[in-house]
Amino acid sequence: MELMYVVSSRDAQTLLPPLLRATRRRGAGWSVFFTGEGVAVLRDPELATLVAEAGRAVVCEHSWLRHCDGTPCPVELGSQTDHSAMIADASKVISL
Amino acid sequence: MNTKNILLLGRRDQTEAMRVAAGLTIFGHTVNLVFMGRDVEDTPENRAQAELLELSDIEPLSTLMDSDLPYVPPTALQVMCLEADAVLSI
Repeated sequence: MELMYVVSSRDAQTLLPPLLRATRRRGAGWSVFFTGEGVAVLRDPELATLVAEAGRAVVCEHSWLRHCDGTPCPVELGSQTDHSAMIADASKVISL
Repeated sequence: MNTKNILLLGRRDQTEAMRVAAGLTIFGHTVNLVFMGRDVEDTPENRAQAELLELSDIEPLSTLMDSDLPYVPPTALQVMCLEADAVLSI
């Protein structure tokens, strides 16, 4: 995977959409892992739609249960094991 | 799959930083964890995660000179940034 976003803060709700649109325009392959309070940004429907275009998008299930009050998760639920594997597979990592 | 040298900066959520650091070692990555800006709070959650760090062979560092953790000065932190394949901020 050319590019991986690691999202762990709520600030990403405004930072991530323009970056994802730019990534799409460039045609780069990308993945994203959401953890900690960063999982909450997926409540934004526009962002969830953009994230659906990822090569792989995973949410830390532990964090989702902690921060999202039983809301259905729009992308794959996983664990820190997935995070470790996805980092291994990424050429570049961007932490937000 | 490539194992990486990862620098994790523990800034906002200390408990999460420790949990992520330990998890990253699962696929063989080398992980350096540096707490920045404030001492690690003594909470049940942090104590539990500290045990996980120990099991993962991660010795956390701190940018605070008077911390209980080993001190990492700015010059050393800069070298760690340069040597890392990825820098995560949590």
